[in-house]
Amino acid sequence: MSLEDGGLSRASATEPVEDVVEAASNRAEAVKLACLDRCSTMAGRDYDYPPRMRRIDWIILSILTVATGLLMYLGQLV
Amino acid sequence: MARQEMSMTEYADRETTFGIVPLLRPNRIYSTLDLLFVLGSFAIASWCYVQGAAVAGLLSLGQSLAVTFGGVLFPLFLICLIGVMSNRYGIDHWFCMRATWGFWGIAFLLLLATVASSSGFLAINADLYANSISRTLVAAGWDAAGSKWAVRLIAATCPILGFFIALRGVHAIKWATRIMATTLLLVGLIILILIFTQGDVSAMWNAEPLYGMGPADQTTYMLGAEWTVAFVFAWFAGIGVYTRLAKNERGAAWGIWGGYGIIMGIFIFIGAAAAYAAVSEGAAPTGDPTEYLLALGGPGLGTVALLLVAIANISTSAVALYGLTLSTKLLWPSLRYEWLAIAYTVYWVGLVLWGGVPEYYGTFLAVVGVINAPGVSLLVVDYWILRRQKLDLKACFDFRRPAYRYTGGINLVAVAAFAAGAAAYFLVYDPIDYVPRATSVFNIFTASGFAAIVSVAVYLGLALVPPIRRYMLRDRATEADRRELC
Repeated sequence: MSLEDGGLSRASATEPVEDVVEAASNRAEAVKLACLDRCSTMAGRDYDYPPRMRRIDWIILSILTVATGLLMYLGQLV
Repeated sequence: MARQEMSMTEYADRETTFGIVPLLRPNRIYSTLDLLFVLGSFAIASWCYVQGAAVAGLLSLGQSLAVTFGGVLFPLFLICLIGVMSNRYGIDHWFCMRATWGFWGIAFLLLLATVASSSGFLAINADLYANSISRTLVAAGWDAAGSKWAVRLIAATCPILGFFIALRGVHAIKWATRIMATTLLLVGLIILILIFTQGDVSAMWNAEPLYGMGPADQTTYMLGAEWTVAFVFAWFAGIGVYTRLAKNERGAAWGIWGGYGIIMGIFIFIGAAAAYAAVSEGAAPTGDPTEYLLALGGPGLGTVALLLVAIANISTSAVALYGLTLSTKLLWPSLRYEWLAIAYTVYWVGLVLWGGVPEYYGTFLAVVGVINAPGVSLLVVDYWILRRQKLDLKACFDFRRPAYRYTGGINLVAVAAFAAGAAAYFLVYDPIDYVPRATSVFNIFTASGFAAIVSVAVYLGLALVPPIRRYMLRDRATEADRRELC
């Protein structure tokens, strides 16, 4: 069975129910396998993750969060 | 057989952009500026004017400024943490949340967040779109277009037109975003210019809140803060689907901060200022930008605004439909994007025809807060504190792996913590009459903030009990399990 149409055209009243179920089942399996394959890649030691947040980013983000928290609470004095 | 394997590969590749397959580093396409533009243009939709008008109804313009930027940016830190997590793995955060809620338990929260929370904002947009068109048709002499059902039927065309754009895929979405951003920026800019040229800024700054209840006391001020915090937590459904596309974590965090924070804050404040300006010109503070432009700039500008608002709202529907449909594929990975998009469109049309969301906006924001505040906080503490930034990713996609099966696929500890947070929300705030039940607590934490704190306290408190901790951290039970974590 071809999956190029994603099984969409098979989901008609004239198609045997087994075919529709099989198409959906194959699609689910294809997606799951692709997901697990990529998860294995990421779990491997060689995978190069995107660059992490730098310490300075965390510091600036924290300072801004505290400052805006103060703004929210002190704004009622305006 | 070769043909079938090729088809499966193609299908899996397609699922990277139209589905759930994790994006590896080479697949990431958004720079920080790209993400800021995408999120910012999505965030400044017409709902900002409704939110601005709601805040202006309770607070003075100065207080609206403080509560808008403080109330938006302060809780946004939690949204940034979720965006960073999602970017790290290239996975929508709803999949990562299977660690928190269990493989099947996440369906409960996902449906609540998308069906009860995010969809409501689309109904509000469609309502504004319909009001704009209806007003113009009535002005042109077609009085029937002003009836309640005519407005609702017009509103129903917004999600339907958005559906046809979303159906064209990610490239159409890219163009929709550009059109949406340009038109919404134009509307905002025109309103801003009119406020400063037509309105008396000094009088607006010194004016009392628009609902006529006099100067805001502490409780009223915190009610404005509560509505703003709930509005920010409403982004819970649409974080990972976008930040997973960023090239690095910095891009994800600052893209959110700039887009969902600064840009959205500016537009909510424009909405508040426009409400003050429009009231001074005799219009009602409805949150409808077309009405403001009619009041401040006359019929000519109002007609231009109608076109801009209509285009922007259709584009917003398309972008939202794309994001929510991809997130919902978590529940039915094999279901085609198109079928899910149809299901959402039909639901949104039903919501628009019902017409209850704009009518009960304050209560709707309470629904948003009670769902999303515990949801956001539980995910953050689970990943960043309890699991120390390590997940068994394969278990997020494969039910046969035991790590996130918990009890029949549901983490009962997360359910208990969520329920405690929701109960705490209703203990301190009555969302029907918009009044706090426990003023002292509400005035410090807001209802959403308190719900988040209680959820976290219950979740981490239960994690201190050794048998419960083992139940929650099954993904690292053995040395072999720990090797799978990343």
